[in-house]
Amino acid sequence: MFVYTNRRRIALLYVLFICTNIKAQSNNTIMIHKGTIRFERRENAYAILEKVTPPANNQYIESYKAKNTQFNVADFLLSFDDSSSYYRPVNPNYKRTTDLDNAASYNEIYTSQRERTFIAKKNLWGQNFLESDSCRKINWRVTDEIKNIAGFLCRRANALIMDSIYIVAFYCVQIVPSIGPESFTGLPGAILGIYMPHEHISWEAKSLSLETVNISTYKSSLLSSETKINKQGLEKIITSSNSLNNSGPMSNLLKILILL
Amino acid sequence: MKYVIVILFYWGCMLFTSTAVAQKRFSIKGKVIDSLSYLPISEVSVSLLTAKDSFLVDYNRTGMDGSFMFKEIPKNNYIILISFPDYAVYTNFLTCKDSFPNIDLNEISIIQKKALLEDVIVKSKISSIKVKGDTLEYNAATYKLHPNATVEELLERLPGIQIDNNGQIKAQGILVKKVLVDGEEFFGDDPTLVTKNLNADLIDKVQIFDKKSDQASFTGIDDGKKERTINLQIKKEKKNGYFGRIEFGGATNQFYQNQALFNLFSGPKKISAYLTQSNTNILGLGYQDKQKLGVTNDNNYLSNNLDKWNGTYEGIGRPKTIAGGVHYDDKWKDNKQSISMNYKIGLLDVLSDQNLIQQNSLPSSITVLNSWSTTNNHLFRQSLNATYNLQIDSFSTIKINLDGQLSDKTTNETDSTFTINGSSQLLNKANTSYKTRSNGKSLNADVIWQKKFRKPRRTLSIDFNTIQNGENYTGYLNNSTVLLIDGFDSIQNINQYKTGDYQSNRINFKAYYTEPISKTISIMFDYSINILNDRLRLYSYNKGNNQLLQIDSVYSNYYTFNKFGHQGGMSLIFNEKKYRLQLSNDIKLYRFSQLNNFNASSLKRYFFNWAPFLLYQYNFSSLKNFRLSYLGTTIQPTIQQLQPISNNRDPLNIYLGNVNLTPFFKHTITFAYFDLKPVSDRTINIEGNYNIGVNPIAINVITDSTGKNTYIYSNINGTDINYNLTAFYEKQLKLLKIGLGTILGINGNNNTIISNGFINHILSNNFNWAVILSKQKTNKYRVQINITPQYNVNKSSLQSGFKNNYWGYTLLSDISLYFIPKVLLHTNVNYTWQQKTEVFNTNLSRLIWNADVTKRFFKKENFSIKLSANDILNENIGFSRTTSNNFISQNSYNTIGRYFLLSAVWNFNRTLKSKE
Repeated sequence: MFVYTNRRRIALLYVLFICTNIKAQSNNTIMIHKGTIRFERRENAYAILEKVTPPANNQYIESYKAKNTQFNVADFLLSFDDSSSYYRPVNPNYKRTTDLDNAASYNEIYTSQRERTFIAKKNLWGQNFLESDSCRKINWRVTDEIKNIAGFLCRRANALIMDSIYIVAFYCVQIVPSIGPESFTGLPGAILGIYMPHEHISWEAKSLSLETVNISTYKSSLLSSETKINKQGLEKIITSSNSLNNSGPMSNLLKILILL
Repeated sequence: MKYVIVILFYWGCMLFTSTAVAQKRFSIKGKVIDSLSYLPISEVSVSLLTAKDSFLVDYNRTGMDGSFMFKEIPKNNYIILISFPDYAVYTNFLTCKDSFPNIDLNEISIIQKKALLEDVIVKSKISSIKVKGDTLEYNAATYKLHPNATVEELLERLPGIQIDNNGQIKAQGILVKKVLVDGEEFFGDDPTLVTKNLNADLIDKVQIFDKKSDQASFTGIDDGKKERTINLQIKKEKKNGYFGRIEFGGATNQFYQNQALFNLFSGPKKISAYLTQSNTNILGLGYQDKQKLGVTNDNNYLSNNLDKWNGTYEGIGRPKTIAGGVHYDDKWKDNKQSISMNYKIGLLDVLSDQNLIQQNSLPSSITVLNSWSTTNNHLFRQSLNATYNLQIDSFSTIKINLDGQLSDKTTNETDSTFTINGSSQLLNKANTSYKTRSNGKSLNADVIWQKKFRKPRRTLSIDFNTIQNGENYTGYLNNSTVLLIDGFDSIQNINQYKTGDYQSNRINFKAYYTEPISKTISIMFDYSINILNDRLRLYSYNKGNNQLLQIDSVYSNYYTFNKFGHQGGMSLIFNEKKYRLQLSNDIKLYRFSQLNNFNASSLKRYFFNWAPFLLYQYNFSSLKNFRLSYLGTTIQPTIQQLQPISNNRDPLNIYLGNVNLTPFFKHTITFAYFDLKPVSDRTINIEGNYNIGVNPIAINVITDSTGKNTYIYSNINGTDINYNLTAFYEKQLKLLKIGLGTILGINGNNNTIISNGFINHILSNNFNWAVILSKQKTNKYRVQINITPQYNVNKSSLQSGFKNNYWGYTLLSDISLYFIPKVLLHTNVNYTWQQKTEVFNTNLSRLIWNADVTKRFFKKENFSIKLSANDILNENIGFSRTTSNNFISQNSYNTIGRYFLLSAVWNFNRTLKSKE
């Protein structure tokens, strides 16, 4: 009798083994639906300064170079699930070294994939604004280039935004929701890298954790506090702002960052 | 009222504009499955990009059932991009057509990268076949073979290629006539020398194309002449080194098979040598060598007809050969000069015993001939071929080709025959013994100068060719024939000594000039001159009483034959993007005269011939094309038909001339369709031709009451038709991983002969349909099965009540097993069955079973021992049944039967360091 049950147990195990095997065979790739991606934003401050500073102000660049490193690095977290995502700086109180840091550099952005809308908290020279709008429609041009970012194979896509800003994105299909850092979305998977080669700024994923956060609580805390504004409102601030009113390269860059 | 009209008008406008503006929207759906398990895959990313600039239009993920759908897609050309982790990316083009608003892509299978790496076969499907212009190119590296496998084993693996037991190769159903190595002829035209002797690991690429004549490939203007050719490209890294093989084999029944092959490659230089000795017909008996023996493109020359043997082994009797050859080719000065030489020497002995039963259908009766013959034929032959190419500058080249041949042939034949009529009464009987010896020599020299001009497509090509042939011969004829006339015997004895010689000088000159008229139109002019001077002597001497020789003036000949012809023509060629049209017309003027020096009678004839030609080719794409051509030719009577050599070799079959013959016109229509899909491994190749001769020259057979046949040619009213069709289809069945090939063949003849003054329409048709299945697994097995049923229809208007229709089929099966490391097990079975008919009262059935085992030794597996059994069941008793004109024949003969062969093969190779 014992022998019989033992046999049955073995048989059962065997069946189980086969079943799991089949499952593994047909779908041994884990598709990711939720988790948190850690991004690193890098600004090449030297290159930016050289680009935006008027030639007369060369000593400023030299003095900056003497005091600061070439790259300004800041980390951001992007938590996501199938319906929404939430993007925020790891440390909201970064020291601000360049003028760029004053223009919407440490945004917190809630994006709803379903409704294709976003709510962004942007800090402009110390004042917080809450922008809420529909997601930007980006006309992506998909290429053959493949790159490994944070262990994921990503495909390159290029686009022009705001009529003239060339951006390069790398997306991976293994992460199913169409999400990305800042307000960059609209590719068939998560964007793990964004490069603005002419602006010398990039966002690149460093790691992914499968731990989840409650995105809706973040959203409600975001909605509760700040002054609401829309894109037109932001543009109004930019045009009325004294520091941005001149049309030099610096103000152009700030405008881009604010409107991103 | 006004308002109503305005509103109606307004509504009308609205309707009109709304329908005009509403653009058609499309939906696209499909299902993604795994290529191995066929299971649907969910969450696969499917993206739709514009084909023009790859902008992302829409994206989606597959559902649990693997399906996806795009809706409301504007009309455009798209790329569909399917990607999923660990799977190879799938992309394909997609076009929206108004007639299909709902596009269904059905199942799309995607391949796991793991599977892609593990299974070379799967990978090879993607990259193994390429099409470059008119050339199909296979990448040899994607076919995994055992070490020291031959080129033949490689070719067998390639889709679209079949090789039969004799080593004959068919590509897409068409016989391959040439195998080149790096574009050069390698030991002449014998493909088996290359395929059976060179190792597959030398080969980088296998290219298949239709080789055009020198003129056509230079001028780009088709002359309709082409041969299916295989070119083997040698791997770069193998171009410096030596390699070869030595094989010794001994067998039961005194069979043996020995060979040695050595190759030395050094950069552009190739030196090769081989030596074979066998009596098994496996090696060194090229089936195509005979084409080089005579010049076959012009049948208007004299021929002594002294012996029947053409100098090759064709499966009848037992052969014995010793053959050797040396090949050398080299290129220098940036490949501007090249030379290629082949020297071959060969000895062939064939001993045969034959029994022939032949029924001749006459208007009112039949006769049946029975003959037993034994032959002992011997040939010693040497040939040398040299080709030199010189590229003078970037505009002009010179090619010089020399072909020389020496032969020594002896034949010895004895036969005894008798003929009976339908009521089994004896009509005649004869005994013949015939011995001949002939020594021949021939030289063929060819100089071609080709020049291109600064203006594109303006070319000039001049070809000068001379052929010198000579032959001396002697023979002894002993014959006694008994004719039974009304029950009385009439005995006729011949005891003759024959001797003679033959000299032939030919000069041919050809010039071509092409001139572009516009971007797409060219014109070509051609002119040629042919001069021929032949002299033939054949004297017959009766051996009288006292052994004195007396000349027999009836059967002695001394002919001089002169021919002068010139020909001019023009072609117009339209070369558009998608199609090509060529119109040509040639006019030939011939004058020939034959003088019989024995009786001073002479024959002079003038002929005017014309040859219109039309070719249309449409290219759907580089992988799909269609060709249609028409050729009209004037067929003039041959000198043998007008004034043949009188010969009493066979007193029961006498040929007479007819000086009143006139030429006739023949129309030939050919077509071809080719369609290849490399990704799904699907090939379609259809080729066919239809020939019709109007008021042709027909043979007129007069059979007298004693069964003696007299042949004379005459013009008749009517047509001679023959046609054939080959349709080839091959596909890889993905589900079972089986290669499925099928070849449909139709051959038919509908011609007229005259039999005892009665017109006899003869119709013969052969329909065959081969189904070829093959399945292979790398390093495991390879199985191929070929089933070919066929049906033959033979009708003769004189014997309309007499049926000669029969079924037949052949089954070929070839199995190789590689399961055991370093061991190859191979067997093939060849079963033939032919239905009985009214003439032959038994079914013909024959099963030939061969098997062999090869064990390879050492780390490099370069030494092997092979045990092979040929015709294990000993059923290869030579036997054949054929039908031609009025004759239905059955032939039984001795041939190579069962034997067991043990052989040892040593392969050696060494790569040398390149000099650079």
